[in-house]
Amino acid sequence: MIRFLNVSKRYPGGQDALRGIDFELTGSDMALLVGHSGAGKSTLLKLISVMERPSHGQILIGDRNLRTVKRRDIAPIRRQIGIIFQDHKLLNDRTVFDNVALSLIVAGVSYRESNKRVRAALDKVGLLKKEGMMPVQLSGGEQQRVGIARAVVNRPAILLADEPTGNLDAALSDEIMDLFVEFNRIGTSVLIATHDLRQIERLNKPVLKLDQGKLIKNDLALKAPSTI
Amino acid sequence: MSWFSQNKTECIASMHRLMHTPFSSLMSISVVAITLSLPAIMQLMVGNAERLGQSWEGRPQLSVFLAPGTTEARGLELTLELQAKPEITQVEFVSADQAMEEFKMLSGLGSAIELLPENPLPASLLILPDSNFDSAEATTQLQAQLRQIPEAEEVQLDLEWIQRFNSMLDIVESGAQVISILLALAVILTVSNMIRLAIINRKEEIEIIKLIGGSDAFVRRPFLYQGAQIGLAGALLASLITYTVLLWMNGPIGRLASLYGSDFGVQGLSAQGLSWLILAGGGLGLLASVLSVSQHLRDIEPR
Repeated sequence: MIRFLNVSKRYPGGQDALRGIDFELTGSDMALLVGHSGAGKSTLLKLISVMERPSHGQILIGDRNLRTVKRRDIAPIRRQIGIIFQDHKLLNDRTVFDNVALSLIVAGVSYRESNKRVRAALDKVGLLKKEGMMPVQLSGGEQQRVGIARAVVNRPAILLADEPTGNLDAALSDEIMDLFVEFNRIGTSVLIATHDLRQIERLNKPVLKLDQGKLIKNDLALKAPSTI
Repeated sequence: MSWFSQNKTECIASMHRLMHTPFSSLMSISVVAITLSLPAIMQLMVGNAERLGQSWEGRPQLSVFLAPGTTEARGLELTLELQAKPEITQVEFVSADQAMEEFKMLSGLGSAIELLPENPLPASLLILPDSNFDSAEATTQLQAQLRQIPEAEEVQLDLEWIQRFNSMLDIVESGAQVISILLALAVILTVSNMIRLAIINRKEEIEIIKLIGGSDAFVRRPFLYQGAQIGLAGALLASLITYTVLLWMNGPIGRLASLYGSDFGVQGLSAQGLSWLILAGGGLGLLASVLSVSQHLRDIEPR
């Protein structure tokens, strides 16, 4: 699903955020991206969501090469990726329902269909009763779950999460992570950036460990060398 | 969702957004309305003045000055003769004495003129052509015909001052066009600045929408609607302003016209003029938002 082939990223300032990254996340994988802050986790996620472009190497999602993808093709690629942020990035002037529905509206899903799907997604994260509330009326954990519902409602092939449990206590963190496990079980590939050691141990999933832009532990090494 | 229903939704959402901040929206719309109403009022005034000019132009008058020494009897005879012509509605004979009386009265020179040894003014015939023969061509022909009268010393067609009036009007009109273009530019600048502010205000929302896969077209659409709606609402308000200004001016203008024995009344915006105004408002608003969006939306990318 996602392939990194010798990917490096150097920011305009001259600092190397990532160096020579190789890995492959297939359709059924769930992996954890770990490392200290500043190790390059966020940069790696930004490369997948085409917020940044690689300086060297190739990134493939399906058969699309993200290094050369045209501007107008970025939106369709992002629709295949559900992204969850540490700070939720919800629209505070819209209800929970409308926040989740936004993912479907941008994808052009019909109203009747999207009503059903939004309710199903909110049900999945246990927030169906709060669909009419505003994000500020919710707790941090609930807001995170709205973000998850928004990310999964369009049934993306890939879920990316950047420190999704960063601000949550242990019990809430478990709940959130278990949601990701469930989505992975029904065929979504999941990549979670975290420095929550407890979760890394508890989940027992493949790990990509970054240190100063290099992969120092890679449970997702390339299965076959690529010709690209 | 179909393209149409998505657009309908966006259009309504954009209207809600405008109404959500009624005061600032009304201010923006008023600025556009005032800017649009100025050229509309100017065009109307020029149009009305043109109509006034045309109503004068339709009644040209010919003056036939008779040679000195032509008797009053001969003058009256000519009057009857000309009256019989189908091209002529009315002939008025002004004898030399009558002309003198009139001149005394109008010039205010009074007794000074009485010092003249003899009356220097000629007798004349004032001729009003029939309305079927009042085209420029027909009147010039009539003028040539009247010159054939042996006693006619000079035949004058009183069109010159109307021509002067019309050419002055042409200058005013082209001035109004230049000002209209400048004001249209002002509308574009105003609306595009409003849209720029709206984009900045919704920067976070735009970033999020782009992150979850909203295309450029999707992000652009609400701002295009907003621009077009500000323009349209501005045009509607401008037509109201124009109407009010005309009501205001109709009284004084009517009084002035009645002093000249005319029942001329100011004509307001025609249906055509109104549609032009609305089209211009919506079009300029849309154009402004296209310009603004193409300049500022690209810069907002999720980070």
